[in-house]
Amino acid sequence: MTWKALQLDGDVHAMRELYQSEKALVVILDEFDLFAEHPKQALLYTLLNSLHFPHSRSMIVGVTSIMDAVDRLEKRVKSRFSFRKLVFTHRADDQAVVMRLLRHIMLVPELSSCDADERQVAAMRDYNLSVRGALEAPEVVKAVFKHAQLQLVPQRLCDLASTALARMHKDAPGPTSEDMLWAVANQGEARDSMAAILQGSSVLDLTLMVAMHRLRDFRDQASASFTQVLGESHNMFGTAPNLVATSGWEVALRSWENMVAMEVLEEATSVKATGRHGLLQFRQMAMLVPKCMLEAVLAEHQQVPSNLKVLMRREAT
Amino acid sequence: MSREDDVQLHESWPGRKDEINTLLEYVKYQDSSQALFVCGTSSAGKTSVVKAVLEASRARYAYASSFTSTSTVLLLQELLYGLIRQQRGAEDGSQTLPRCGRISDFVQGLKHYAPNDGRTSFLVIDDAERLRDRSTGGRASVKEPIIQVLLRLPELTSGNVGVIVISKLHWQAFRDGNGCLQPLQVYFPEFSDSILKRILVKERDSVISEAKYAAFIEPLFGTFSRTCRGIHELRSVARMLWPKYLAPEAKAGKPLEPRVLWKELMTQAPTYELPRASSLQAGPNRGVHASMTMPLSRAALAVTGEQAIRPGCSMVLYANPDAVPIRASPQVDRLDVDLPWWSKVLLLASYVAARTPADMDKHAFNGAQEDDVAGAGGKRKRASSLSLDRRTEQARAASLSGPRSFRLERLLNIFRRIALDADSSDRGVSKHDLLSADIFVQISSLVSLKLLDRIGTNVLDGTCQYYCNIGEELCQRIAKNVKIPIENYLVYA
Repeated sequence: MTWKALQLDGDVHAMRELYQSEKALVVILDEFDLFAEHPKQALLYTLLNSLHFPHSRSMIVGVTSIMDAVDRLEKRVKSRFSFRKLVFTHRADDQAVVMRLLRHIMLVPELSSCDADERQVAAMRDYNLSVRGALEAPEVVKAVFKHAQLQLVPQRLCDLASTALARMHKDAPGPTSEDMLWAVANQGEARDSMAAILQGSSVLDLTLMVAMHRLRDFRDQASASFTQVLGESHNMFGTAPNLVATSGWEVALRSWENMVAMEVLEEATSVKATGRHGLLQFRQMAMLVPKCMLEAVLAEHQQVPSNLKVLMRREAT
Repeated sequence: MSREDDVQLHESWPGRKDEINTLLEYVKYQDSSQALFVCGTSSAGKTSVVKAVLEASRARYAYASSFTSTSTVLLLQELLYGLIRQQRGAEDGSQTLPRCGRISDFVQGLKHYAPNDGRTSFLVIDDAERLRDRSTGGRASVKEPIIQVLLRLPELTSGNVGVIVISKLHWQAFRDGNGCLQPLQVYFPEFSDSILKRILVKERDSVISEAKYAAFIEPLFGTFSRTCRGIHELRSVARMLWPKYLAPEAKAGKPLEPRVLWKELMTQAPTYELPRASSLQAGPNRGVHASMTMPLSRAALAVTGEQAIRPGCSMVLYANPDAVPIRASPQVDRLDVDLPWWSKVLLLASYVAARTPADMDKHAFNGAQEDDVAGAGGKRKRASSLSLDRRTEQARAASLSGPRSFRLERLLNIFRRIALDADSSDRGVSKHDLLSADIFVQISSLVSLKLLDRIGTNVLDGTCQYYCNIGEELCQRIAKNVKIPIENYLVYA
């Protein structure tokens, strides 16, 4: 019996011929859920239907990361499905599983003296001893387990191992528990994207954001248009000189457009249902920046005037 | 790649040392198993630095932007054909290019034209945020998984294909719950103040002395950076103001102190006439990609009235480098836009309909009836001061919320009233003319020109809502042009 691996390009007729050729056939459908989005799910229907051909000796294996992929199938397709599932889960709640995975990543296979010279064998043995010692330290186990619970994927543990190994002293036989703890602490969590955008904002951008928050907090307006925000920004400073007034309407609108492009603002859902205004300045927008984040940015920004920080919390200065 | 090349890269792109080193590591070690995601705000130098690093490393790469490649097919073709051209040589146009209509064709083509010869071929996809909402085959409900495919290309091609995705949004904006592989991320932060000033000084003309230009940039940066920190905008302002900054020196015939020059510049700021289209290359238009900017004519700018400038506003100088100053004059009755008379009156009617509440129509347009009711001894409610305050506040809030939508019937009623009032004897407008097919054709034309917006598809069932897109200034100019006192109809606005 010969096995051939074929890669077909979605040619349904060719596949039908294969099914009818009485040869054993395994069809693997990667990202199975995306096939459910095809028009009328024709390919899935044809493949699953072909399993019932008289001389068919075939098997279909669907691979997906979507748990309810089968629920997305049409009735006629679902009725031909066997509903046999193999679920690959990550046991993030089991400390032993996490540490076993990390040990598997970090340990190297120990060679015998026949396959390598004495020095290499000794170096590998010392390295593995060092890794085992580091991974058995209680504080390392606790820190790694806490880190893995955020998202237990092998890639994340590989990154952790790489960081620890990169920090290892060049004369040390292997990473120590200090190296592991340092790696966990400096793993480089995903930068808060919104905070990063706000750090680079101009004072005009921040003034408009403060005005939007004031409309929400003091005027009970969850969404607002540019004209309303401009009105509030004039109100909050009263007769005192302020950047929005000196910048002008067009410059402030440009700043508003920038915030929409960077997805700091998004259209209010009520607008999507009823239809949006043709001009951006009259569209109702909702702010996606939480108040605490904006306050933190205002506290650190070098150019923000002090009265703007006060106006964030008080209706009047 | 030599150490001197590295140093030259760092010199050419100040403030990007860490990012350049990360990109060099990625390119040098040719680890194509994971894609690279480069993000940062606009004008942070992402595209330029990535291209410079690839050029300096003499890597094989193809570049495509989703802004210019407006469909997936165009994007894939641009990437594949870019690699093929590099392989065959730029001059060789003899062989036909392979078909690349589908993602599967693209993957097959990559396997063929990005061979596993020890060298990694890089695909650079710019403006990737526009790929998120592309739908499949015209069906808006089905999103095309183009980003997932691009990030998995190394796996799909089993070859040396590295993918670099550039976007101004962060990776979190691309997550869609479909198990997209997480790429390596390189973030380009905003330039610090010192780096921005350094870049601006570096970009001066070679004939200008560095110290003199730095003395000009210092106060300019302090004035304008609070409003905008984009390098394009600051560069445009510097380029525009430099000749005016030097003008007093030319007049005096001797060098002057920088603070004197700056003071003179700021004193003269409101009277500046802005330069025309040539300065557009210096900075992008509002919301338009830098590669697609084109100068607009005065007539086009005048149509929507958006480019009006308020005199005395100094910050407008760099907001609209090509803006046309419209000098407000009560005697101006010439319009730069050529529209039929009916269309002008329709626009005025739509402006009134958008600004006047629907329940005020009977007061605004049927004032005689109300007087008759009062004269016949009808009851009149006494308005309390409290309700007056409330009404004022409501009117103010309504004005801030913007113009309202209106139905076609209301537009036609108001149009009829204004047209009959404005009818002069030489026109001889009849009621028949006001409901002729010509009027409806002109309404459709105004919708096509985006002077009116229509919400709804079926015009005949009467549920369509219209929005008026013209501003106050254009409305006033149209009213003066057709000699209609528009203020009379905006009493309840």
